[in-house]
Amino acid sequence: MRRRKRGIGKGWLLVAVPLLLSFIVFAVLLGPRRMVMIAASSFLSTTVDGLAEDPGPHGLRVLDVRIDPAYLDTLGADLPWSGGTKYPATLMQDGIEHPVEFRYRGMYSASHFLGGKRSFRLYLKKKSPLAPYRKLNVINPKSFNMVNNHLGMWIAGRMGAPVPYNEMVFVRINGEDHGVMEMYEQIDGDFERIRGLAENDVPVYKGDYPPIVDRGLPEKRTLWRSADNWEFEGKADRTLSDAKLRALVDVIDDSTLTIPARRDTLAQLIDVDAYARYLAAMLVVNTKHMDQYHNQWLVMSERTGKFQPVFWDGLLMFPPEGEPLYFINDALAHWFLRIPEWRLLRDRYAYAAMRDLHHSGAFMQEYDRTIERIRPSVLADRNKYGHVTLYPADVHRFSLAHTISSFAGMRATVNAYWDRLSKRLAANAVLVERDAQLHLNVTSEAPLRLTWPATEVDPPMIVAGADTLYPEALHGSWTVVLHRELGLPEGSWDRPFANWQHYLVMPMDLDVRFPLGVPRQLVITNAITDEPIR
Amino acid sequence: MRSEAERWTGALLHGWVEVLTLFGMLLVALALIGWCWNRGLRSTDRRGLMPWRLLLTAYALVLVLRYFHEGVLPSIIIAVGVVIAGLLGRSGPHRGLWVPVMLLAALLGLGLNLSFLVLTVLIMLVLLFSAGRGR
Repeated sequence: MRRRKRGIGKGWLLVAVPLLLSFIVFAVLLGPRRMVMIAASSFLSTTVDGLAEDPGPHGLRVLDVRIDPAYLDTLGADLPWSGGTKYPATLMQDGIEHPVEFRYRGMYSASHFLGGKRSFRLYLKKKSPLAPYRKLNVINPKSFNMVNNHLGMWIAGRMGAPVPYNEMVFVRINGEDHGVMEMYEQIDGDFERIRGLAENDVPVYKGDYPPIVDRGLPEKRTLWRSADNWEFEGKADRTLSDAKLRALVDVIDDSTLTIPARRDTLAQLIDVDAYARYLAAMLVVNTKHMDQYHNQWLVMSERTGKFQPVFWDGLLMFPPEGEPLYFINDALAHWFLRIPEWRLLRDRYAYAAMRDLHHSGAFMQEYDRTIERIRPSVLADRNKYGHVTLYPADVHRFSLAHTISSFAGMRATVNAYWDRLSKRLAANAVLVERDAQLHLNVTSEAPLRLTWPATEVDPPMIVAGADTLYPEALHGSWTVVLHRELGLPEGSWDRPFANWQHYLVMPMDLDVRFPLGVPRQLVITNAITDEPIR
Repeated sequence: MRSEAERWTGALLHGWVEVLTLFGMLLVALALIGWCWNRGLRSTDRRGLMPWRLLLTAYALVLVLRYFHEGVLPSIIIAVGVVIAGLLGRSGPHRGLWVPVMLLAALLGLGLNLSFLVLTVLIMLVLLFSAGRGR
């Protein structure tokens, strides 16, 4: 009996020691934390995902693509460099074969080409099941929950920012499940036409990393440094738009212009309302993913003749460091946010979105609807690949446990961030003293609006600190906004091309003098929320 | 270059943990089944907890099915696996276990973990409620 026990012990030792050694080797090669994260993703995907059997019919569109496996082999032979050639393929819809062209896409982010779920692009004929779109990217979602980009886009669209068509789909390639992916319109000159906003193609410019010409990633370029850094897309006439883009680049580059001169010139070149909505969406989505180098689009509207941005690849809750209220994502934002009226317009759009999305619960309803729709497809997806560590090379299969935890995490993160943002925009830390003049001491960040009944015909001259202000007439009252002064954190570089900077709102300590003394019925409100300050 | 090596090391680790996990799942299931098998026998007739030959054969089936999991190939592999199990199981102390355990391995190899769990429990219950002599 004793001998038998010793035998079993030796057997176990023979198994356990090499196992332990193997993990020590991996820990040395990769680092213990990284090893644990990769091992956990493997363990969980092997154990948990198999528990979801027969998840039911897909709630998502099933994209059934057929392509000669030899073409796939050629495309995948030397990724990411080998994936750019277009090959004929077929899109199956309701038993009908639609000819398409297929290529892989995405060179910069490893999740596009590493692992078993590669992103690709389809080129479609005019008449296809996915008309009117002619170029569609089918992307391996970047997050474990798979929908953060999709929902970021939904938020921006709801806020009135131009967005590309975006749909979650379940992909099958050559009869095998490829899994849940994100179908994404590739913007082209037809952007306005397919939305019924223009009769013809309009000039469209892509602001992204430089095209790859050799086996190697080219150096990043700061988009607003030169009009040549923006790539023209489509077939529209570009004579006028090129001139306007050069003018826009010149205004951004010229640091000598006064704020009013810059405002008036910019207002002739860009759609201010569209930009205010775009920047507001960036604040609400809490993303820094559109930057000085990539993820930018300019569409010259046929109606206004001005440039408008497209909210592109705005990952939900991909925040800039320190959660700034005025994040400067690019050189245009550097100047846009310095113009007080435009800044206020952006903030009001952001606050309106907070009331709509957060306080009324519209976002969480959409979130729940999205989860409900995507659930059977996520359960059926045994090919979930993503970054399981912070290292770009670590694109591996992850599990349902990752997805479920990411859904819960995203819900908590969104709610917490929007609580903070709402409070921040609505905060009224204002000390008011009234005697012969009005003294205001403000430590919150919102600008203030002063409103009082109009008793005279001509606008009275108000002196706020060293500035002279002329109020506007509004429903039988005079009203004036006391905008906030912005500064930069210590050590920041006050230049439009500096990367990932932000503005701080300076505290306000101000005397306001009225010609006939402080009006008795003066009302002070938060200029963003219109809530009175008591 | 370093990144390329890291990429392969990471992939290797991911695959290594996957095969270990599958082995671990099969090992635990077989240990439980082996324990239940022994419950029906007199203590003098009881053999080891783990039928190692059966474990390794079943694990081979799991790995093969893990790789060939689309089309008609899995059906052929399972059929061949069951036939081999029938032949190998004709002799040895765990004669009645070979075919059910190969079916168990087939479920694990196809990624049907819930069915694998249910069948494990079912086999355990059958063994617990059946007399050892009849096996």
